[in-house]
Amino acid sequence: MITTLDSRVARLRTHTDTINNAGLYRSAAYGFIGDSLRASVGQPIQLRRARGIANILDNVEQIVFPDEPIVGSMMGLWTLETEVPSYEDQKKTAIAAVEDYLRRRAESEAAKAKNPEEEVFKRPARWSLMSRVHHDASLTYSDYQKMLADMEEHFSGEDIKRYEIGSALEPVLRIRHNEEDRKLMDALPWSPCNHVGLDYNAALVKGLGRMRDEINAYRAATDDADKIEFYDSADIVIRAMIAFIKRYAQTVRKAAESGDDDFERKQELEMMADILDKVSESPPETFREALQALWMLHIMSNLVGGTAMSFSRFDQYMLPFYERDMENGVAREEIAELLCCFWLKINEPKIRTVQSMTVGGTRPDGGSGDTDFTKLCLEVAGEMKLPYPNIAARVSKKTPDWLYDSIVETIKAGCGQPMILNDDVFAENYKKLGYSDDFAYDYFNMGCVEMMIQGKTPLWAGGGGAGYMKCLTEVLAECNKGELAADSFEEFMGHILAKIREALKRSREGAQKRKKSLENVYDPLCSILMQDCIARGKDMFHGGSAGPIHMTMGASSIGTMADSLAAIKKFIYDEKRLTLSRLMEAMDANFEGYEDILVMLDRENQCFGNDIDETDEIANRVFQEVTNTIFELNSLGDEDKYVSTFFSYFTHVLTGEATKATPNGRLAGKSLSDSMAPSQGKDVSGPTGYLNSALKLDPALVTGGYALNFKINPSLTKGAQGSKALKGLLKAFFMSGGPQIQVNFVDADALRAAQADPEKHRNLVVRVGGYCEYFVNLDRALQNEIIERTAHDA
Amino acid sequence: MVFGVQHFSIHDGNGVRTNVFLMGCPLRCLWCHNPEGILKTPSLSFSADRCTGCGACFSLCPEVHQTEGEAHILKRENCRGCFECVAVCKGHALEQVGREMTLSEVMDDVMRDKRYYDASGGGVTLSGGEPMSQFEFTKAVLESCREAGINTAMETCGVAPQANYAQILPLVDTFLYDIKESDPALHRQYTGADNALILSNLAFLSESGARIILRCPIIPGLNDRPAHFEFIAALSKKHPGVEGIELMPYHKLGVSKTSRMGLDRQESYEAPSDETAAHWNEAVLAAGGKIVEY
Repeated sequence: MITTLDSRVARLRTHTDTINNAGLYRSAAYGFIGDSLRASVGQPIQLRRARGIANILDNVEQIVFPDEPIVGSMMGLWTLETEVPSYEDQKKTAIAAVEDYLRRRAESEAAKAKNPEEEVFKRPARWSLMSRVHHDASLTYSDYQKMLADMEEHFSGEDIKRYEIGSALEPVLRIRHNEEDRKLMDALPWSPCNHVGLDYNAALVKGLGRMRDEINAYRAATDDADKIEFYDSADIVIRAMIAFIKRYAQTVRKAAESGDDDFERKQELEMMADILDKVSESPPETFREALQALWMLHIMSNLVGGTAMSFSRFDQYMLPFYERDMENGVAREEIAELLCCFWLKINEPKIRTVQSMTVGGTRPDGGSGDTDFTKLCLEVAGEMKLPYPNIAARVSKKTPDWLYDSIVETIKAGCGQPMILNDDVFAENYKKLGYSDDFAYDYFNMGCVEMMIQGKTPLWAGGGGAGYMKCLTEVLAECNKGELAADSFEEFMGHILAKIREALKRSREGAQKRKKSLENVYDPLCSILMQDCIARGKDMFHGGSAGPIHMTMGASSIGTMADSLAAIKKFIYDEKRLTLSRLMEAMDANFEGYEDILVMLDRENQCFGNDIDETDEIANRVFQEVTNTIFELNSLGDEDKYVSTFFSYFTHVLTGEATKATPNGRLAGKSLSDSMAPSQGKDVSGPTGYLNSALKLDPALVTGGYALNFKINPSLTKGAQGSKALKGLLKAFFMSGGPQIQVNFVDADALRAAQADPEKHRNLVVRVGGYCEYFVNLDRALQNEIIERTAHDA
Repeated sequence: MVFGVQHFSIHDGNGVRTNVFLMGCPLRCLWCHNPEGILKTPSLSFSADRCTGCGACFSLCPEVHQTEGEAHILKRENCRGCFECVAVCKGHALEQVGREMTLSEVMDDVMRDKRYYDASGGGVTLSGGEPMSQFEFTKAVLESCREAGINTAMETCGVAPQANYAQILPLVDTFLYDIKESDPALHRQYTGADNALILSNLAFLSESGARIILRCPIIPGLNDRPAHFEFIAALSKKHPGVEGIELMPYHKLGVSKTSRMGLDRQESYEAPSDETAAHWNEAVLAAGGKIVEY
């Protein structure tokens, strides 16, 4: 058991909270990049990027926070913004922007949402839903939410949706600075490597010095002009990386000399400086050295603009250092404290979006990767209760009981972590996709629940998918008009499946078009840390990486879809209590004047999530159509892997806002069901019924991401008996082939209290959809949706 | 006749369990927390606080659903048990409690969670009402569970012929055996019957090698007496089959249930604080009784 009360960790936690809540920050990155781009006009893009990266690393301010044992911070790149217009002034700007939007909308019918699911994603508004992404906002996140609410009130007489307000506000409520630099960046475009797990292991084993020498040896041995350009770029960057770490050593040493710290801290700073000097070129040997080296690599990838950079299989590549320290008599508590401090670093401001970590699971050689260090990582997560890193624990039929115990205790600590992934699904499915064991067993959850291969997959690319509600609405309309015959439910279902198939096949074309936008994208820094790029002499986006891009497609809100289809089957086809046209009239009227239908749907529909075979089978047919179609796209000869993803992030709220009433009685504007979950409040048969329904969706070809939000009231799992029950549930679910689960573990009262008084509940972390976030940092609509789901369990 | 199948029950025996609640009970405990179990036929439950006053049930079935002033009242004597009014009730105020289930329906339902029983050491718990009041059906369910390899527990008040217990003895892994009151006269006053049969059945089960956990509802003002705690502790020492004792502190859930079911209004007692309940446990421990931990 770890305790961090009244310790260095507690002081650093306070410090991390303070800088997170200090106000608005402005980035110096645009200036560094702009300066470099102006100086490199005419040179190849790859080299220009390399110089831009080097310019950031050479010039960014380096900060050492009091007390911290591991240094390196994004805060050197960001300064507190002092000249922000008052809220009232910004409100005037906001009103003008929304009025402008309404004017434009009235002028052009085309601007109206014709297909909500597509329309929603064309707009930038979704970023105002997520605090960690909205970098240049001129309002703090909570003020931003207040502004949205104020606008809703101000324009309450207008027919305007919240997402429309958000999309009108985002372009104007920004801090405007370095406009010229930004134009240069956009023209390039800058877009650095993001949403990956780099091959940190290689850098920890070899050391950056040896990697630099390898780059130069390859450079000397080739006369291929393209490769030379790559090696020249890589050389510029790796020298800048080494110099950055050496400069940090000096910065820390200076802090030791000039500060008024006590003797002990000064000695520690000297030691930290020595570590930095060492790991700037040589491989680390101790755990502390390795952790510092890792953090340097990670912070550099963030400083140059990388987002959602993952620690991937942290407990695997850090294990040798942990074991060596243990053999040398280092105390486990000492390692635990370092890890706690490391956890806090990951939660500093401006670390970009969701940083994930995977622990446990089978190794590429088939052996067990479950160790005491795996357990320690889970203990730290349970003690720290922070949103990041977003941890996944990997299990399989071979997982020992003690790891399940550790997972359950961490979940019960109340931070919603870890999520659990099943090797028997993902590793096996990757083999079906043609990956060798070296790839298949090194999968990890990037960001939220997006599966990639550690150090090998260069990119997670959004390839579109099938919008269930769009498919359903179109088929309903075509049947109603008589364009499609639907004399039986089987026939109707056939149209639905065909529609889904078509949408996914169309997505392939879109994905390949989008891929063309990568033509001018290079990332020399991340290519150094991506397996095979150096040996091949190619950038990660240009065929250098060991693995292909994961081109993701999928479909979310299976609950709303399955319940809608179940209702159509039961009431229209089986019992003939409704006609298609009457149901559509009712939906068009948002069920106003059709209360009898609404009550019938509410009380009598057989909803997904209750272990009802008939409905679950409908859900499975839809689900399998998606997984099969996407899997088959891989036989068409494209370079990338098409992977299937069932994860809605927070878009089920957003899409719901723009979606009309649905056949299951869900009213217009209400949230759709999230990811793989049943409709909100419709799973009424308890936790086992919920899981049994999920288990009926065949995961044999699930290859991308999968999020099953499982909410359970804490009172159900109190004490040792409760732990045993929760463990039994989880173990049975995974032994039966469940792909993924994430448990949310706070009760509705706690959430309501936090919503009413955010100041007192800033530390409350909840699972959203594949990732964790501070509850108070969520959009109010999303908060309400989570409360609704939670309350229903009580 | 079953009034509910509750999945993921974790407070009635080991591991993840499914509780099958059987209708009918020979006792009438003043504090009954499952009063719907006393009934013998499916009945209508009405929660007035959820009624939206939409009137759908009034037009559907004016014989049963009527008004008295502002209030929605039920003429239960007119109810034919069709439960069509439940389907039109917008606010979920009306619910059907109890239904007839065949053995295969019950087994199909409990088998759905077999994977969770296996992973947690759980199984099926028969509860009620009193399972022994539907002896043949109870026995059939237990036999089917045995065949399917499902661990079984049965909650029982002990009021049934000894011969019946003898028949199911090999089919039950754990008896959750109620001890409500030590004094025979008070037992009659609280439950409608004295405790002689209960105590002799307990002795019989223990001697026959059953695994028993004593479940003792403690109702403030009725049986929270030192003598009663000592009696419970003594029972557990006397009978080697008794593995431990579980005190069940009173809660008020039964009171609102009786009003929903249109049953005679139940006396309400003060629900004890966690502290008080802990003192009770201590009293049993002090008297040499063993509190069970699952």
